[in-house]
Amino acid sequence: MKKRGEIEVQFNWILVLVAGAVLFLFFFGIINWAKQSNEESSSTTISTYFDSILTASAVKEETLNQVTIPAKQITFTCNGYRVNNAASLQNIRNKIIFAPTRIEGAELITWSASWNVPFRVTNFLMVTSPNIRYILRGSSGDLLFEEIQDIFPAELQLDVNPPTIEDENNYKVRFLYANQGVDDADVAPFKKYSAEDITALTITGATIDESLALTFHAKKPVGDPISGWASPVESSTSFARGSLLGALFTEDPEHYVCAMNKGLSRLNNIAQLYKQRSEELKAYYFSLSSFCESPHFNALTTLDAIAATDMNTLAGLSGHSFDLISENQNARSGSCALIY
Amino acid sequence: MASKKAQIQMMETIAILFIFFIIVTIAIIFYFNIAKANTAEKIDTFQELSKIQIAQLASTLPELQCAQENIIRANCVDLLKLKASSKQIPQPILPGPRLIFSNSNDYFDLFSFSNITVKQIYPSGAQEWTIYNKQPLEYQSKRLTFLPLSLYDPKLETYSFALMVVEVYT
Repeated sequence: MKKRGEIEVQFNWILVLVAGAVLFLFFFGIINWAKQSNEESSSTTISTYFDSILTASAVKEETLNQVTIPAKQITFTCNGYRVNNAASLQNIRNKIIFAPTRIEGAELITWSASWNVPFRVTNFLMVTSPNIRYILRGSSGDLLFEEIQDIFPAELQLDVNPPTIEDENNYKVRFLYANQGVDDADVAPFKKYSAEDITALTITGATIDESLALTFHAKKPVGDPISGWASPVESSTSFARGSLLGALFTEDPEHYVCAMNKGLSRLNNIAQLYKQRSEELKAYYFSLSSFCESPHFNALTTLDAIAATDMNTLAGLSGHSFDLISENQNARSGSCALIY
Repeated sequence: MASKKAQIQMMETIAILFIFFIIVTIAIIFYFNIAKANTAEKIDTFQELSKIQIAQLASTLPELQCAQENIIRANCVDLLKLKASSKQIPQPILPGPRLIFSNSNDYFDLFSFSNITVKQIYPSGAQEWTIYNKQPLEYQSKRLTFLPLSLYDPKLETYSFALMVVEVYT
Protein backbone atom coordinates (compact mmCIF):
# COMPACT_ATOMS: atom_id res chain seq x y z
CA MET A 1 0.00 0.00 0.00
CA LYS A 2 2.82 2.35 0.95
CA LYS A 3 4.71 1.34 -2.22
CA ARG A 4 1.70 2.25 -4.40
CA GLY A 5 1.54 5.68 -2.76
CA GLU A 6 5.22 6.27 -3.45
CA ILE A 7 4.76 5.40 -7.16
CA GLU A 8 1.74 7.73 -7.26
CA VAL A 9 3.79 10.68 -5.87
CA GLN A 10 6.66 9.97 -8.26
CA PHE A 11 4.25 9.72 -11.20
CA ASN A 12 2.74 13.07 -10.27
CA TRP A 13 6.20 14.68 -10.23
CA ILE A 14 7.08 13.18 -13.62
CA LEU A 15 3.77 14.44 -15.02
CA VAL A 16 4.42 17.95 -13.64
CA LEU A 17 7.96 17.86 -15.04
CA VAL A 18 6.86 16.77 -18.53
CA ALA A 19 3.96 19.27 -18.59
CA GLY A 20 6.32 22.00 -17.35
CA ALA A 21 8.89 21.20 -20.03
CA VAL A 22 6.20 21.20 -22.75
CA LEU A 23 4.86 24.53 -21.49
CA PHE A 24 8.35 25.98 -21.26
CA LEU A 25 9.20 24.91 -24.83
CA PHE A 26 5.84 26.17 -26.07
CA PHE A 27 6.30 29.65 -24.59
CA PHE A 28 9.97 29.76 -25.57
CA GLY A 29 8.93 28.99 -29.16
CA ILE A 30 6.22 31.66 -29.13
CA ILE A 31 8.56 34.33 -27.70
CA ASN A 32 11.26 33.46 -30.22
CA TRP A 33 8.83 33.56 -33.11
CA ALA A 34 7.30 36.85 -31.90
CA LYS A 35 10.78 38.38 -31.52
CA GLN A 36 11.86 37.34 -35.02
CA SER A 37 8.61 38.44 -36.61
CA ASN A 38 8.73 41.76 -34.77
CA GLU A 39 12.32 42.42 -35.88
CA GLU A 40 11.43 41.57 -39.47
CA SER A 41 8.32 43.73 -39.28
CA SER A 42 10.19 46.73 -37.84
CA SER A 43 12.92 46.36 -40.50
CA THR A 44 10.22 46.37 -43.19
CA THR A 45 8.57 49.42 -41.64
CA ILE A 46 11.90 51.28 -41.42
CA SER A 47 12.69 50.27 -45.01
CA THR A 48 9.37 51.58 -46.27
CA TYR A 49 9.68 54.91 -44.49
CA PHE A 50 13.32 55.16 -45.54
CA ASP A 51 12.22 54.56 -49.12
CA SER A 52 9.80 57.50 -48.82
CA ILE A 53 12.61 59.68 -47.44
CA LEU A 54 14.82 58.67 -50.37
CA THR A 55 12.08 59.40 -52.90
CA ALA A 56 11.38 62.80 -51.37
CA SER A 57 15.12 63.58 -51.43
CA ALA A 58 15.51 62.34 -55.00
CA VAL A 59 12.73 64.51 -56.45
CA LYS A 60 14.11 67.69 -54.89
CA GLU A 61 17.08 69.11 -56.70
CA GLU A 62 20.31 69.95 -54.89
CA THR A 63 19.06 69.33 -51.40
CA LEU A 64 20.95 67.91 -48.48
CA ASN A 65 19.04 66.20 -45.68
CA GLN A 66 20.28 64.87 -42.38
CA VAL A 67 18.15 61.93 -41.44
CA THR A 68 18.01 59.86 -38.27
CA ILE A 69 16.50 56.43 -38.63
CA PRO A 70 16.11 53.75 -35.96
CA ALA A 71 18.48 51.27 -37.57
CA LYS A 72 21.89 49.97 -36.57
CA GLN A 73 23.12 49.29 -40.06
CA ILE A 74 22.06 49.67 -43.67
CA THR A 75 23.82 47.79 -46.44
CA PHE A 76 23.54 49.07 -49.99
CA THR A 77 23.79 47.44 -53.39
CA CYS A 78 22.99 49.03 -56.71
CA ASN A 79 19.45 47.67 -56.73
CA GLY A 80 18.46 47.86 -53.10
CA TYR A 81 19.31 48.11 -49.48
CA ARG A 82 18.90 46.00 -46.38
CA VAL A 83 18.02 47.47 -42.99
CA ASN A 84 19.70 45.67 -40.08
CA ASN A 85 19.52 41.95 -40.75
CA ALA A 86 16.26 41.96 -42.70
CA ALA A 87 15.78 38.85 -44.81
CA SER A 88 14.64 40.74 -47.88
CA LEU A 89 16.39 43.44 -49.88
CA GLN A 90 14.29 46.58 -50.26
CA ASN A 91 14.20 47.44 -53.95
CA ILE A 92 15.17 51.06 -54.62
CA ARG A 93 13.23 50.86 -57.88
CA ASN A 94 14.26 53.50 -60.36
CA LYS A 95 16.11 55.73 -57.90
CA ILE A 96 19.78 56.08 -58.70
CA ILE A 97 21.62 55.87 -55.42
CA PHE A 98 25.33 56.15 -54.84
CA ALA A 99 26.31 54.99 -51.38
CA PRO A 100 29.00 53.19 -49.42
CA THR A 101 28.52 49.44 -49.13
CA ARG A 102 27.57 49.79 -45.45
CA ILE A 103 26.30 52.61 -43.30
CA GLU A 104 26.58 52.19 -39.55
CA GLY A 105 24.68 54.22 -36.97
CA ALA A 106 21.39 56.02 -37.11
CA GLU A 107 22.67 59.23 -38.71
CA LEU A 108 22.46 59.52 -42.47
CA ILE A 109 23.08 62.22 -44.98
CA THR A 110 21.14 62.20 -48.24
CA TRP A 111 22.03 64.58 -50.98
CA SER A 112 20.56 64.93 -54.43
CA ALA A 113 22.47 66.33 -57.38
CA SER A 114 21.11 66.67 -60.87
CA TRP A 115 22.90 65.04 -63.77
CA ASN A 116 23.02 67.51 -66.65
CA VAL A 117 24.39 66.38 -70.04
CA PRO A 118 23.71 69.32 -70.74
CA PHE A 119 19.93 68.89 -70.23
CA ARG A 120 18.79 67.49 -66.90
CA VAL A 121 18.50 63.72 -67.04
CA THR A 122 17.69 62.80 -63.48
CA ASN A 123 18.69 63.47 -59.90
CA PHE A 124 21.40 61.26 -58.51
CA LEU A 125 21.00 60.56 -54.84
CA MET A 126 24.04 60.30 -52.64
CA VAL A 127 23.66 58.57 -49.29
CA THR A 128 26.46 58.55 -46.75
CA SER A 129 27.20 58.82 -43.07
CA PRO A 130 28.80 61.66 -41.06
CA ASN A 131 30.91 58.92 -39.41
CA ILE A 132 32.76 58.17 -42.63
CA ARG A 133 35.98 60.13 -43.02
CA TYR A 134 36.96 61.51 -46.40
CA ILE A 135 40.55 62.55 -47.10
CA LEU A 136 41.28 64.64 -50.19
CA ARG A 137 44.76 64.89 -51.65
CA GLY A 138 45.78 67.17 -54.50
CA SER A 139 47.82 70.22 -55.43
CA SER A 140 46.62 73.69 -54.57
CA GLY A 141 46.04 75.63 -57.75
CA ASP A 142 44.71 72.55 -59.52
CA LEU A 143 41.17 73.41 -60.68
CA LEU A 144 39.77 69.92 -60.17
CA PHE A 145 41.17 69.76 -56.62
CA GLU A 146 39.61 73.15 -55.80
CA GLU A 147 36.27 72.16 -57.35
CA ILE A 148 36.05 68.93 -55.34
CA GLN A 149 36.61 70.91 -52.12
CA ASP A 150 33.85 73.35 -53.13
CA ILE A 151 31.23 70.70 -53.92
CA PHE A 152 31.84 68.69 -50.77
CA PRO A 153 29.08 69.38 -48.20
CA ALA A 154 30.16 70.89 -44.88
CA GLU A 155 28.15 68.23 -43.01
CA LEU A 156 30.70 65.57 -43.97
CA GLN A 157 34.20 65.07 -42.59
CA LEU A 158 36.67 66.15 -45.26
CA ASP A 159 40.37 66.41 -44.41
CA VAL A 160 42.27 68.25 -47.12
CA ASN A 161 45.94 67.33 -47.57
CA PRO A 162 46.58 66.40 -43.91
CA PRO A 163 50.37 66.33 -43.27
CA THR A 164 50.06 63.12 -41.23
CA ILE A 165 47.22 60.65 -41.12
CA GLU A 166 46.08 59.04 -37.90
CA ASP A 167 43.35 56.54 -37.19
CA GLU A 168 40.43 58.51 -35.71
CA ASN A 169 38.26 55.42 -35.21
CA ASN A 170 35.99 56.04 -38.16
CA TYR A 171 34.52 52.78 -39.36
CA LYS A 172 35.29 53.73 -42.96
CA VAL A 173 37.88 56.01 -44.55
CA ARG A 174 37.81 57.05 -48.20
CA PHE A 175 40.78 58.71 -49.90
CA LEU A 176 40.21 60.98 -52.88
CA TYR A 177 43.24 61.76 -55.04
CA ALA A 178 42.72 64.63 -57.49
CA ASN A 179 45.13 64.39 -60.41
CA GLN A 180 47.65 62.35 -58.44
CA GLY A 181 48.34 58.68 -57.79
CA VAL A 182 47.57 56.74 -54.61
CA ASP A 183 50.12 56.79 -51.80
CA ASP A 184 50.76 53.53 -49.92
CA ALA A 185 51.92 55.47 -46.84
CA ASP A 186 48.36 56.79 -46.35
CA VAL A 187 47.05 53.29 -45.56
CA ALA A 188 49.65 52.49 -42.89
CA PRO A 189 47.54 53.59 -39.85
CA PHE A 190 44.58 51.43 -41.01
CA LYS A 191 46.20 47.97 -41.06
CA LYS A 192 43.52 46.40 -38.87
CA TYR A 193 40.63 47.55 -41.09
CA SER A 194 39.12 45.35 -43.76
CA ALA A 195 39.74 46.11 -47.43
CA GLU A 196 36.16 47.24 -48.05
CA ASP A 197 36.40 49.90 -45.32
CA ILE A 198 39.56 51.65 -46.56
CA THR A 199 39.12 52.65 -50.17
CA ALA A 200 40.41 55.28 -52.58
CA LEU A 201 39.42 56.99 -55.79
CA THR A 202 41.84 58.69 -58.14
CA ILE A 203 40.29 61.32 -60.36
CA THR A 204 42.14 62.51 -63.41
CA GLY A 205 41.00 65.35 -65.66
CA ALA A 206 40.63 69.08 -66.01
CA THR A 207 37.30 70.04 -64.44
CA ILE A 208 34.23 68.39 -62.93
CA ASP A 209 32.09 69.62 -65.83
CA GLU A 210 33.90 67.39 -68.31
CA SER A 211 34.63 63.70 -68.50
CA LEU A 212 37.09 62.41 -65.91
CA ALA A 213 39.05 59.17 -65.64
CA LEU A 214 38.38 57.30 -62.40
CA THR A 215 40.29 54.51 -60.71
CA PHE A 216 38.82 52.63 -57.75
CA HIS A 217 41.23 51.24 -55.17
CA ALA A 218 40.87 49.17 -52.01
CA LYS A 219 43.37 48.49 -49.25
CA LYS A 220 45.29 45.22 -49.21
CA PRO A 221 43.50 42.60 -47.08
CA VAL A 222 44.16 42.26 -43.34
CA GLY A 223 47.16 40.02 -42.75
CA ASP A 224 49.06 41.12 -45.83
CA PRO A 225 52.67 41.70 -44.67
CA ILE A 226 53.06 44.90 -46.72
CA SER A 227 50.46 47.57 -46.13
CA GLY A 228 49.29 49.57 -49.10
CA TRP A 229 46.73 49.64 -51.88
CA ALA A 230 45.77 46.36 -53.52
CA SER A 231 45.94 45.69 -57.22
CA PRO A 232 44.43 45.21 -59.76
CA VAL A 233 42.24 48.28 -59.74
CA GLU A 234 38.99 49.05 -61.54
CA SER A 235 38.82 51.97 -63.95
CA SER A 236 35.80 53.92 -65.08
CA THR A 237 34.67 57.32 -66.33
CA SER A 238 32.48 60.10 -65.02
CA PHE A 239 30.84 62.90 -66.88
CA ALA A 240 29.55 66.08 -65.25
CA ARG A 241 29.23 66.98 -61.60
CA GLY A 242 26.44 64.54 -60.66
CA SER A 243 28.32 61.56 -61.93
CA LEU A 244 31.59 62.57 -60.20
CA LEU A 245 29.74 63.02 -56.91
CA GLY A 246 28.37 59.50 -57.36
CA ALA A 247 31.91 58.14 -57.75
CA LEU A 248 33.16 60.02 -54.66
CA PHE A 249 30.60 58.27 -52.44
CA THR A 250 30.53 54.80 -54.01
CA GLU A 251 33.30 52.45 -52.92
CA ASP A 252 32.31 49.55 -55.11
CA PRO A 253 33.12 50.14 -58.81
CA GLU A 254 30.42 47.63 -59.84
CA HIS A 255 27.82 49.63 -57.92
CA TYR A 256 29.02 52.82 -59.62
CA VAL A 257 28.82 51.31 -63.12
CA CYS A 258 25.41 49.76 -62.40
CA ALA A 259 23.99 53.08 -61.12
CA MET A 260 25.51 54.94 -64.09
CA ASN A 261 23.90 52.42 -66.46
CA LYS A 262 20.54 53.26 -64.91
CA GLY A 263 21.29 56.94 -65.52
CA LEU A 264 22.33 56.22 -69.10
CA SER A 265 19.10 54.34 -69.72
CA ARG A 266 17.16 57.44 -68.60
CA LEU A 267 19.47 59.58 -70.74
CA ASN A 268 18.61 57.47 -73.76
CA ASN A 269 14.86 58.00 -73.25
CA ILE A 270 15.16 61.72 -72.54
CA ALA A 271 17.45 62.36 -75.51
CA GLN A 272 14.86 60.60 -77.71
CA LEU A 273 12.13 62.83 -76.28
CA TYR A 274 14.19 65.97 -76.90
CA LYS A 275 14.87 64.74 -80.43
CA GLN A 276 11.15 64.31 -81.14
CA ARG A 277 10.52 67.72 -79.58
CA SER A 278 13.18 69.34 -81.79
CA GLU A 279 11.77 67.56 -84.88
CA GLU A 280 8.36 69.05 -84.17
CA LEU A 281 9.82 72.53 -83.59
CA LYS A 282 11.94 72.22 -86.74
CA ALA A 283 8.84 71.39 -88.82
CA TYR A 284 6.94 74.27 -87.19
CA TYR A 285 9.71 76.82 -87.86
CA PHE A 286 10.14 75.45 -91.41
CA SER A 287 6.46 76.21 -92.09
CA LEU A 288 7.14 79.79 -90.94
CA SER A 289 10.41 79.96 -92.97
CA SER A 290 12.10 81.01 -89.75
CA PHE A 291 15.81 81.02 -88.87
CA CYS A 292 14.85 79.00 -85.81
CA GLU A 293 14.63 75.83 -87.90
CA SER A 294 18.43 75.69 -88.08
CA PRO A 295 19.43 75.13 -84.40
CA HIS A 296 16.74 72.46 -84.00
CA PHE A 297 17.82 70.76 -87.21
CA ASN A 298 21.48 70.81 -86.13
CA ALA A 299 20.59 69.44 -82.70
CA LEU A 300 19.03 66.25 -84.12
CA THR A 301 22.32 64.51 -84.92
CA THR A 302 23.81 65.47 -81.55
CA LEU A 303 20.73 64.22 -79.70
CA ASP A 304 20.97 60.93 -81.60
CA ALA A 305 24.61 60.58 -80.53
CA ILE A 306 23.75 61.41 -76.91
CA ALA A 307 20.93 58.83 -76.93
CA ALA A 308 23.39 56.15 -78.05
CA THR A 309 25.86 56.81 -75.22
CA ASP A 310 26.88 53.94 -72.98
CA MET A 311 29.61 53.49 -70.34
CA ASN A 312 32.23 52.85 -73.04
CA THR A 313 31.42 56.09 -74.86
CA LEU A 314 30.68 58.22 -71.78
CA ALA A 315 33.83 60.32 -72.32
CA GLY A 316 32.41 61.36 -75.72
CA LEU A 317 29.55 63.17 -73.99
CA SER A 318 31.84 66.18 -73.45
CA GLY A 319 31.90 66.95 -77.17
CA HIS A 320 28.18 66.28 -77.76
CA SER A 321 27.28 68.34 -74.74
CA PHE A 322 29.38 71.24 -76.01
CA ASP A 323 27.67 71.04 -79.44
CA LEU A 324 24.20 71.05 -77.89
CA ILE A 325 25.02 74.02 -75.61
CA SER A 326 26.24 75.89 -78.68
CA GLU A 327 23.03 75.15 -80.67
CA ASN A 328 20.93 76.11 -77.66
CA GLN A 329 22.74 79.45 -77.50
CA ASN A 330 22.01 79.94 -81.21
CA ALA A 331 18.33 79.28 -80.51
CA ARG A 332 18.40 81.74 -77.63
CA SER A 333 20.11 84.46 -79.66
CA GLY A 334 17.45 84.05 -82.38
CA SER A 335 14.61 84.25 -79.78
CA CYS A 336 13.55 80.72 -80.72
CA ALA A 337 12.13 78.00 -78.48
CA LEU A 338 15.13 76.43 -76.76
CA ILE A 339 16.30 72.90 -77.46
CA TYR A 340 16.41 72.07 -73.75
CA MET B 1 -9.79 3.92 -2.19
CA ALA B 2 -6.26 5.36 -2.71
CA SER B 3 -6.45 4.47 -6.42
CA LYS B 4 -9.67 6.46 -6.78
CA LYS B 5 -8.08 9.45 -5.02
CA ALA B 6 -5.11 9.31 -7.40
CA GLN B 7 -7.43 9.07 -10.38
CA ILE B 8 -9.29 12.16 -9.18
CA GLN B 9 -5.97 13.98 -8.69
CA MET B 10 -4.87 13.09 -12.22
CA MET B 11 -8.21 14.18 -13.62
CA GLU B 12 -7.78 17.47 -11.78
CA THR B 13 -4.31 17.97 -13.28
CA ILE B 14 -5.56 17.15 -16.79
CA ALA B 15 -8.55 19.48 -16.35
CA ILE B 16 -6.26 22.31 -15.22
CA LEU B 17 -4.00 21.72 -18.21
CA PHE B 18 -7.02 21.58 -20.53
CA ILE B 19 -8.39 24.89 -19.21
CA PHE B 20 -4.93 26.40 -19.35
CA PHE B 21 -4.50 25.46 -23.02
CA ILE B 22 -7.98 26.81 -23.82
CA ILE B 23 -6.96 30.15 -22.27
CA VAL B 24 -3.65 30.09 -24.19
CA THR B 25 -5.51 29.31 -27.46
CA ILE B 26 -7.93 32.20 -26.85
CA ALA B 27 -4.98 34.52 -26.14
CA ILE B 28 -3.22 33.40 -29.35
CA ILE B 29 -6.37 33.91 -31.44
CA PHE B 30 -6.79 37.37 -29.87
CA TYR B 31 -3.13 38.22 -30.56
CA PHE B 32 -3.39 37.06 -34.19
CA ASN B 33 -6.53 39.09 -34.77
CA ILE B 34 -4.83 42.23 -33.44
CA ALA B 35 -1.70 41.48 -35.50
CA LYS B 36 -3.89 40.94 -38.59
CA ALA B 37 -5.63 44.27 -38.07
CA ASN B 38 -2.26 45.99 -37.55
CA THR B 39 -0.84 44.39 -40.70
CA ALA B 40 -3.87 45.48 -42.74
CA GLU B 41 -3.42 49.02 -41.40
CA LYS B 42 0.31 48.93 -42.24
CA ILE B 43 -0.38 47.63 -45.77
CA ASP B 44 -2.87 50.46 -46.24
CA THR B 45 -0.32 53.04 -45.03
CA PHE B 46 2.40 51.58 -47.29
CA GLN B 47 0.06 51.58 -50.30
CA GLU B 48 -0.84 55.20 -49.58
CA LEU B 49 2.89 56.07 -49.31
CA SER B 50 3.55 54.25 -52.57
CA LYS B 51 0.74 56.22 -54.26
CA ILE B 52 2.22 59.51 -53.01
CA GLN B 53 5.69 58.47 -54.17
CA ILE B 54 4.41 57.62 -57.66
CA ALA B 55 2.55 60.95 -57.86
CA GLN B 56 5.66 62.82 -56.65
CA LEU B 57 7.86 61.08 -59.21
CA ALA B 58 5.38 61.57 -62.06
CA SER B 59 5.03 65.29 -61.40
CA THR B 60 8.79 65.87 -61.29
CA LEU B 61 9.87 63.80 -64.28
CA PRO B 62 12.56 65.61 -66.34
CA GLU B 63 10.96 63.81 -69.30
CA LEU B 64 7.91 66.08 -68.93
CA GLN B 65 8.89 69.12 -66.87
CA CYS B 66 9.13 72.60 -68.34
CA ALA B 67 12.72 73.78 -68.21
CA GLN B 68 14.81 76.42 -69.87
CA GLU B 69 18.51 75.61 -69.72
CA ASN B 70 17.81 73.38 -66.72
CA ILE B 71 15.90 76.04 -64.79
CA ILE B 72 12.77 74.16 -63.85
CA ARG B 73 9.30 75.64 -63.69
CA ALA B 74 7.45 73.84 -60.90
CA ASN B 75 4.13 72.14 -61.65
CA CYS B 76 4.51 72.72 -65.35
CA VAL B 77 4.51 70.19 -68.20
CA ASP B 78 6.05 70.91 -71.60
CA LEU B 79 3.37 70.16 -74.23
CA LEU B 80 5.86 68.99 -76.86
CA LYS B 81 7.58 66.63 -74.41
CA LEU B 82 4.16 65.36 -73.38
CA LYS B 83 3.15 64.74 -76.99
CA ALA B 84 6.45 62.99 -77.69
CA SER B 85 6.17 60.78 -74.61
CA SER B 86 2.57 59.80 -75.31
CA LYS B 87 3.30 59.14 -78.97
CA GLN B 88 2.99 55.52 -80.06
CA ILE B 89 6.51 54.65 -81.12
CA PRO B 90 7.38 51.50 -83.10
CA GLN B 91 9.41 48.94 -81.21
CA PRO B 92 12.08 46.93 -82.98
CA ILE B 93 11.97 44.02 -80.53
CA LEU B 94 8.57 43.99 -78.90
CA PRO B 95 5.54 43.46 -81.12
CA GLY B 96 3.31 46.45 -81.72
CA PRO B 97 3.73 50.14 -80.96
CA ARG B 98 4.15 51.14 -77.32
CA LEU B 99 4.21 54.34 -75.30
CA ILE B 100 7.74 55.54 -74.57
CA PHE B 101 7.23 55.17 -70.82
CA SER B 102 5.57 51.77 -71.11
CA ASN B 103 8.31 50.14 -73.17
CA SER B 104 10.97 50.19 -70.53
CA ASN B 105 11.46 48.35 -67.27
CA ASP B 106 12.93 51.55 -65.83
CA TYR B 107 9.54 53.12 -65.78
CA PHE B 108 7.85 50.01 -64.41
CA ASP B 109 10.26 50.25 -61.47
CA LEU B 110 9.17 53.86 -61.12
CA PHE B 111 5.43 53.65 -61.64
CA SER B 112 4.67 49.97 -61.04
CA PHE B 113 1.06 49.12 -61.94
CA SER B 114 -0.53 52.47 -62.59
CA ASN B 115 -2.12 54.65 -65.20
CA ILE B 116 -0.88 58.22 -65.62
CA THR B 117 -2.77 60.63 -67.81
CA VAL B 118 -2.67 64.36 -68.36
CA LYS B 119 -6.02 66.02 -69.10
CA GLN B 120 -6.26 69.51 -70.48
CA ILE B 121 -8.98 71.36 -68.58
CA TYR B 122 -8.80 74.92 -69.87
CA PRO B 123 -9.19 76.20 -72.54
CA SER B 124 -11.99 73.84 -73.51
CA GLY B 125 -11.77 71.26 -76.29
CA ALA B 126 -10.07 69.12 -73.70
CA GLN B 127 -7.39 66.75 -74.86
CA GLU B 128 -6.01 63.80 -72.95
CA TRP B 129 -2.60 62.13 -73.11
CA THR B 130 -1.77 58.79 -71.59
CA ILE B 131 1.88 58.70 -70.71
CA TYR B 132 2.05 55.42 -68.82
CA ASN B 133 -0.39 52.57 -68.52
CA LYS B 134 0.25 49.21 -66.95
CA GLN B 135 -2.67 47.35 -65.48
CA PRO B 136 -2.30 44.15 -63.47
CA LEU B 137 -4.45 41.14 -64.42
CA GLU B 138 -6.30 41.44 -61.12
CA TYR B 139 -6.50 44.29 -58.67
CA GLN B 140 -8.47 45.09 -55.53
CA SER B 141 -8.67 48.85 -55.75
CA LYS B 142 -7.49 51.95 -57.59
CA ARG B 143 -6.02 54.87 -55.67
CA LEU B 144 -6.35 58.21 -57.39
CA THR B 145 -4.30 61.38 -57.11
CA PHE B 146 -5.05 64.58 -59.01
CA LEU B 147 -2.25 67.08 -59.55
CA PRO B 148 -3.05 70.49 -61.06
CA LEU B 149 -0.53 71.56 -63.67
CA SER B 150 0.09 74.24 -66.22
CA LEU B 151 0.73 73.06 -69.75
CA TYR B 152 3.29 75.06 -71.71
CA ASP B 153 3.30 75.15 -75.50
CA PRO B 154 6.81 76.21 -76.64
CA LYS B 155 5.63 76.86 -80.22
CA LEU B 156 3.00 79.44 -79.34
CA GLU B 157 4.50 80.31 -75.94
CA THR B 158 1.13 79.89 -74.26
CA TYR B 159 -0.01 78.19 -71.08
CA SER B 160 -3.14 76.15 -70.47
CA PHE B 161 -4.49 74.45 -67.38
CA ALA B 162 -4.32 70.66 -66.94
CA LEU B 163 -4.68 67.87 -64.43
CA MET B 164 -2.34 64.95 -64.03
CA VAL B 165 -4.35 61.92 -62.93
CA VAL B 166 -2.32 59.18 -61.29
CA GLU B 167 -4.22 55.92 -60.77
CA VAL B 168 -2.32 53.33 -58.77
CA TYR B 169 -3.64 49.75 -58.83
CA THR B 170 -3.39 47.83 -55.56
